Amino acid sequence: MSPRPLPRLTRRSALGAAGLVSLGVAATGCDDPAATPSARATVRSTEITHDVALAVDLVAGVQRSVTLTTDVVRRFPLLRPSLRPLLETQRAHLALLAEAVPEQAMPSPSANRVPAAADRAAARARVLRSTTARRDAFNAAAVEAESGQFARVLASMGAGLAQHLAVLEGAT
Amino acid sequence: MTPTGALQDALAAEHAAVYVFGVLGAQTSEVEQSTLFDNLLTAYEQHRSARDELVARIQELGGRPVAAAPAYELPNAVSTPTQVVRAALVTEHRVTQTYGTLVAQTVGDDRSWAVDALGASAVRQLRFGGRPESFPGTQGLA
Repeated sequence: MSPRPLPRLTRRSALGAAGLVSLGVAATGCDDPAATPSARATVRSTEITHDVALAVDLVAGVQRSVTLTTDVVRRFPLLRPSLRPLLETQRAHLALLAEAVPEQAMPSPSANRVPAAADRAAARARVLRSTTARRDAFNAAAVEAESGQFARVLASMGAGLAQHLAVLEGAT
Repeated sequence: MTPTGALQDALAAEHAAVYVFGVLGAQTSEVEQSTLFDNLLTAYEQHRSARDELVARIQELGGRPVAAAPAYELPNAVSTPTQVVRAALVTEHRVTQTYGTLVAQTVGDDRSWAVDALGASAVRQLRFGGRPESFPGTQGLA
């Protein structure tokens, strides 16, 4: 079996194809110090692409998942071995999406505080529910994305979370 | 690459996977390696189903589905269960990459199906020793 070599996907090609790099400038249009607030708002609304808006929507959810899993891993040491690989993946997803989201659109971590779970089983179940929700959100966004390369990254994130869920749910 | 071309590439990958998993199943004892045999059989059936789905999608687009080759080169020797597992993982990994490309090259219903196929293939890797990755199907996003 010797399939045709596939083009290599890089972070830059994935985000660049979607117009998701250098968003700090593209999304705000704030380079012009003389621009009025209303002019800036106009630039903001017209230059934020569909895919940037998708990334903005996704990043808050991923940040909530990271906050939740970090908290659960800290509170319940026995869950660390099983949840640490998931946390690493969640952080990798957050890091990539953060490259695509204008700085001012990044939710502050304090806005994503989650109430502590009562016990270990409940905490683990919450992490799984949160991960399932993120997987579904990535998959839905992958279908919606205008850029094919960005869609591929989003679908890949969903697939990565599906792998973690399969391991954590013992479905493999 | 056109959407039809990407679907044809995915079909070619599934033709190869059906062949390879058939060989791997034939190399595996249903009695002595029952778990591995079951995993190979399940994967074989899922690849066959995906192949048929791709044939239908290509035909709906007016294309002529690429035919299977008479035989395919195996990823490695498959004399032992360990080698069989390795070959299965390599094959599944290749299919996952192909579906990543298919997601990028399609829109609408074809992309939605490709997203599901990518996830299913990524999860199948786990049955053959694969570990969860952050970005499966992207050749290790750099």
